[in-house]
Amino acid sequence: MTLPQRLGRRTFLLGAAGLAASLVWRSVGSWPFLGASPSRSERLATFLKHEESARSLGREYLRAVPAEASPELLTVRVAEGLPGGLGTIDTVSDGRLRELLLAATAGDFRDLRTVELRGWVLARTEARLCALAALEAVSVPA
Amino acid sequence: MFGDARSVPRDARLETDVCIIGAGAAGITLGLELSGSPLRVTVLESGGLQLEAETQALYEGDSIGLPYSDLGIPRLRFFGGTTNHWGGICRPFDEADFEAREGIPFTGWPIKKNDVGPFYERATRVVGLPSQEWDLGYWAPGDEPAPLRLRGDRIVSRVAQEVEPDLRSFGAVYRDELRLAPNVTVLLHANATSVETDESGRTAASVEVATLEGNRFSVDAGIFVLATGAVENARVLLASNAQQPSGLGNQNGLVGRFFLEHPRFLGGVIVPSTPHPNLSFYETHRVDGRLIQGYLASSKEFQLAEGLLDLQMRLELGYGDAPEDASEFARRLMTLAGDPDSWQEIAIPGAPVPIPYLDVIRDALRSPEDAYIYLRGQIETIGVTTRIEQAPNPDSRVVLVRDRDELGMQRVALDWRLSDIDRENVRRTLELLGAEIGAAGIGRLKILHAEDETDWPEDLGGGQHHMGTTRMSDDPKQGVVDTDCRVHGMSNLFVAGSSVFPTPGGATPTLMLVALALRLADRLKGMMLR
Repeated sequence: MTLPQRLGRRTFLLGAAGLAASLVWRSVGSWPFLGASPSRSERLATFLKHEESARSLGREYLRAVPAEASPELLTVRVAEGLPGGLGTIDTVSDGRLRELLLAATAGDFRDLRTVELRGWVLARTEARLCALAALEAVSVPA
Repeated sequence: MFGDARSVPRDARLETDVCIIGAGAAGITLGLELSGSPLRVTVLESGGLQLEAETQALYEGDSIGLPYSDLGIPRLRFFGGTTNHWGGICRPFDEADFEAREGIPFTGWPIKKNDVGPFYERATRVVGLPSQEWDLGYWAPGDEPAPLRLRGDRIVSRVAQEVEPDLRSFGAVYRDELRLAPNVTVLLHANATSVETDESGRTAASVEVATLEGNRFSVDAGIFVLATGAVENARVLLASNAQQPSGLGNQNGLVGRFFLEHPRFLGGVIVPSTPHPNLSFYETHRVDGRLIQGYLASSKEFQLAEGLLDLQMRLELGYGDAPEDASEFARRLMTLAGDPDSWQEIAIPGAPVPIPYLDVIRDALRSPEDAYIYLRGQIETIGVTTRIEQAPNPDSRVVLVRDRDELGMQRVALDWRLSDIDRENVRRTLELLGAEIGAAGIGRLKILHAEDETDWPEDLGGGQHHMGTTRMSDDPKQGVVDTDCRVHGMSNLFVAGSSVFPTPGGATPTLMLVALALRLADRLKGMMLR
């Protein structure tokens, strides 16, 4: 392999690390809406770290699936993968909701419910969470 | 015994029972198998016992298709042939490798695994492997090094064995054995320039031999076996056009077509869930003293169900190179820092990149070595190199060109071509890998090449596995040799080596071609000694 190719690949690898970080799940205790009563979609949208990366992927998802460009619809779709459906989002703790979202994500992968966004092979659930993050960023200016 | 073509009397006609053209893995195996028999065997080897530049230059040829190395580089033209720089990686074909794939034309073999199976045991001994075991469970019984724990059965880990480095050159290993074989004569510096036939054109009568010093003579034989590699086998057949203008075995225009490789390139990158994944199972390592390496592949069941060919995936940790590359790495990083647009182009979406960007640049300026080590500690990724079982493609071919070598023989050019079938195989298998590693919690995969890309990646290369140019088929309109490796339409001309592979399989070719050479040797003995 020639030097330029090797360097090119390294660059790819370096870039790749950025997305990896975006898909690390935010840990329990990082709830940003203390004292408020967030909507279901707002709550779901905060479960991914590295929000800007998540939003970027979310915008990509919305371009690919414009029919889902609604926080309510995305919330329903994500909740379909949770035991108990929408009500679960209202009733479980952050830690439990995080576990359930992880389980839904693993289930998506297992059953090949995946999407490819800029090359990344993602579970449908996590892609929708990214899309929620993107929509929330639009509706709640920083 | 060994002789030298340069000392054979000019215009002599040597006589033998079996003439083997080429002393690489296939030719040497045939010679060994026929040694001790009542047959007189002559092995013609173009080179000497060591590499000689003038002889090696006879292999030079251009690439006129997809980028490929000069044809003089991957092949070696001296006793032992290309095994003189063989990597030694072996795995037998599976039963599914012989099966036709639905929807992929020209796939499948006219023989089955059990036609070759009995010869595999002998082949492992010939190539110098210490074990007949290929099951994953045998090679990974303990905790470490362990294969990735994937949950599904669609992407699997497999094991390849590696021949010890000092046993890989057939020339070095079997030189003495052939020297002592009373019925086998190895003629060095003997270049076969054409195979001549009788008037019917259906029986090979002699091989014309030339040396670079200007000597020329003929070898008459009852049986001829062409064993010079997939490029040269096609070249010799095409150049043997005295009786048949299109060349021997080429009545249907198939000689040289269906050139196959195991194309490879970096297809994806995995960002692991844990910072420092242990991938030592996928590196060359020893189990009970024996060399093996693991790799990922689509399962045979998945391939057959989906109509895909085989695809192997080699895993390599990113930033695992030697630290002396650190300064180059830092230089590149600083170039990118000065050109944010290009950075964005090649970085993943979602800037800012979540590394301490300015700190990295500052470190890189101060100490490239430290920056490099720092990044290695922070970011570790897994490169996924895909190695495809190329789909048979009649337009992928070896052709004669006008340019001639020192012996006056037309040179060849390689027009290597891949197809959308190959592209689809990579994409679908990588999509599946992405799902499997996601399900197993191992990480996330980025496929590096977009679905609508029409060009092949810049790092596309071959495994230097040349196959397919004299493919095997029951039907003369579909192949050059029959199931006995006899050239269709010829009574006594055979081909040995991976040029007879009609479908390349996922495994490296050497073990298979040696097994086929053993099978051919048995056929020849049965035929000649009947």
